[in-house]
Amino acid sequence: MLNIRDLKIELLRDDQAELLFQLDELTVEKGEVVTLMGPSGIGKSTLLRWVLGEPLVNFRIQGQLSLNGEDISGKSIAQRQLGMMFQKGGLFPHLTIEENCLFAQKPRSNLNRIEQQEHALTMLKALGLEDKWPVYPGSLSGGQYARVALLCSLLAEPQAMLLDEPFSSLDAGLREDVRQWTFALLQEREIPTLLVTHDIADACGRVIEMKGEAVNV
Amino acid sequence: MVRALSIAVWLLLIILPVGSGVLFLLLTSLDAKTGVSLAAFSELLLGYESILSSFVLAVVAPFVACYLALWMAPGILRKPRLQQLLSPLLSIPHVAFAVGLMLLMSPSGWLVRLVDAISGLFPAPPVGWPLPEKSLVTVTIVLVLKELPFLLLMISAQLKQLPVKSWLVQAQSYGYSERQAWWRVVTPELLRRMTLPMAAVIIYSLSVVDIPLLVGSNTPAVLAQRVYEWTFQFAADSQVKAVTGAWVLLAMALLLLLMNSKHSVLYHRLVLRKSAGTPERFNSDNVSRYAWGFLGLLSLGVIAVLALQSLASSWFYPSLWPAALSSERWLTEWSYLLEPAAHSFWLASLSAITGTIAAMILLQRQRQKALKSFYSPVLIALLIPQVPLVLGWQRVLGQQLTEGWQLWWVFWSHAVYTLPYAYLVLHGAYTSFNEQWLIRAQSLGYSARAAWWKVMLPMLKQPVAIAFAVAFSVSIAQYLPTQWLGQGATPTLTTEAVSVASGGDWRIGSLYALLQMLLPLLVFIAVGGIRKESYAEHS
Repeated sequence: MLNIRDLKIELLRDDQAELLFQLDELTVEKGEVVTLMGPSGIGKSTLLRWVLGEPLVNFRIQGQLSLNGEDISGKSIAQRQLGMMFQKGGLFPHLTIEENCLFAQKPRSNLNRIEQQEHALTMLKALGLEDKWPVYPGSLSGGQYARVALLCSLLAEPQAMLLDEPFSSLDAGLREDVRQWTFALLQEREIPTLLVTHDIADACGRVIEMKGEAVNV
Repeated sequence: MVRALSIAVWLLLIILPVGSGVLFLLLTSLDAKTGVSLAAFSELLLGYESILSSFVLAVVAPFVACYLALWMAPGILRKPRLQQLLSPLLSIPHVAFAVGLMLLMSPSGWLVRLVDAISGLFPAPPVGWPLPEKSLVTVTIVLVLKELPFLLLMISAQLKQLPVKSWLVQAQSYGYSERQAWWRVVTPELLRRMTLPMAAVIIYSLSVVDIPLLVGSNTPAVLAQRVYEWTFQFAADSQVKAVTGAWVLLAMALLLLLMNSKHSVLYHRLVLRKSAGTPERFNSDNVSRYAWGFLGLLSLGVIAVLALQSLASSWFYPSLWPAALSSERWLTEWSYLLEPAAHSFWLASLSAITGTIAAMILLQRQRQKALKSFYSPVLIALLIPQVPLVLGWQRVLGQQLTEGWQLWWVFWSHAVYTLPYAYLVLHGAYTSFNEQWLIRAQSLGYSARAAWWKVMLPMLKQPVAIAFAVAFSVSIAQYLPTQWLGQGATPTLTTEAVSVASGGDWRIGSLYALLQMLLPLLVFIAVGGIRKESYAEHS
């Protein structure tokens, strides 16, 4: 369960703080997907990056953040155990798919190396992509890339997932496919998921509209 | 930790060397006996030829190289692969290039022999050949050809950051030809961004000593060379002249830097005023394409003629091919070659590693402070002529240089020069590296430090390797610091090549030159083996 309270995001510009938006409380339950919808520039991505724990220089952000009842606002990105899936990237270009999978498991997994390998390969087989095991991400198609990227995020055993317009780089035909597969997988594993997008076609689960300065939940 | 390290780099490789060099030169200049004297100054001014040739060299070589580079640069837009030619060209040390060029182009050189073989025009080496063996013109040509790849590399880095293609299209829609658009729209912006690299090139031309020693005329020698020679004469009078000359060089540097800073503004004004005439014949793409071919061929020719000369037992004019090939010269010289080769190799390896790591530390600090722009104070060592700066170091260190510490001080002086070049090469890739990759690695559970080692460093390994290779060749080419701080205890391939070849023995000189060229070339070939894709561009 991911919980955000009393959030206030301000943009700092020329020594002035401009209020982007405020949020009283938002809870994403276990197994739930919550979509934050809003036009670009409103601070959706900023919100997500704040949750992830990224240092944000040009913003002043106040708020409380808890994961499964534990306050995590003081923790580093590495300690928060949140998964991310953003527009671009996700697979490290200098590592093969195999290396990417092992790289994602190494910090948190209790399995030994061989078990890790088997675990990743089983998941890849379920996608029918086991032949991509030794290749570099550069040679994957857009749809394959998105799927393997999510797989790697899941291998790192996240307690919640953050998605920032994750399908916008895919072309129309693939998009719906990948979208359905992604949410099915996330719900099957009961991972609380927070999605931000400007496109209603991407949305899933509970949809919250962000307009103006205050967001009503 | 990065902060502490970056302070250490600033102190040890930038502030201390530059500060101590200039300060100590200032202090010794005030000494009544060996300091600057008015008499020496007026004597220098009266023998104005040295000053004049230095000035001409420092103006003509960089500006010819600059406009040649601008003329050739559109080739990079059309064929980005040409860029790969630049780094190996850049790695050829000046001295080796000069020796090879002499063997190719001098009156008894291979090109004249080739012309004679085809046409029978020159049964004897021609008199009044435009490239006599030792002259200011030869020095200028060597410098232009060596500065050209560096400037092209700098331009190509800038071209990546500008929407040049859309500028060219828009200007053509106004009715300019593509070439006109290049000179009127792109060039002013490029010149503005080239001010710093140009400054480095100008200062280098002003204070270069090894090339004039090799191929320069002695009547009169350029000022830097004379100052260099004076310091080796023990008479108090010569010391006074040396210090005075060093100050004149500093003053000239200041003047030249001022002129350089006005260059782009002046060009901008002139080009806007110029009416749009018809495009000239030499201004076509075809001709500049040949220039790329020429540059490549020339470098190959230099390597080939050096190799051939080092294997030739006797090779008299006008035969095109040596009478016999043997490894005799290599075998007899090998024992003499070994020590300088080892010195060159270790100095270059260590100072290139130091310089590259130092540049990465400075750039990492810049990332932490979210400063993307080019931080020019890092390059300050390149903006002070080497002669006065290194003379200052020599005076500061004094006794240190006679107690077996020479090698360490030479290493340090090389690192002072490898750092700014490594910084120049790495800056773009390092500052534009996408932070998201690091964030992603951290979200998987890696610490910030682990993310740097496992993600950023491997993704940047190619630019880092190129920076190392360039730094390596910078160290190989160092002459003045090696001579002055090494006090003869640290002969390198460069110092030996200069002393042998400037004595007139081009044949043995070719051995040293060839080895001097091979070391950086091998490093570049090794670097070329690294996976080609530049991950920095994935961002």
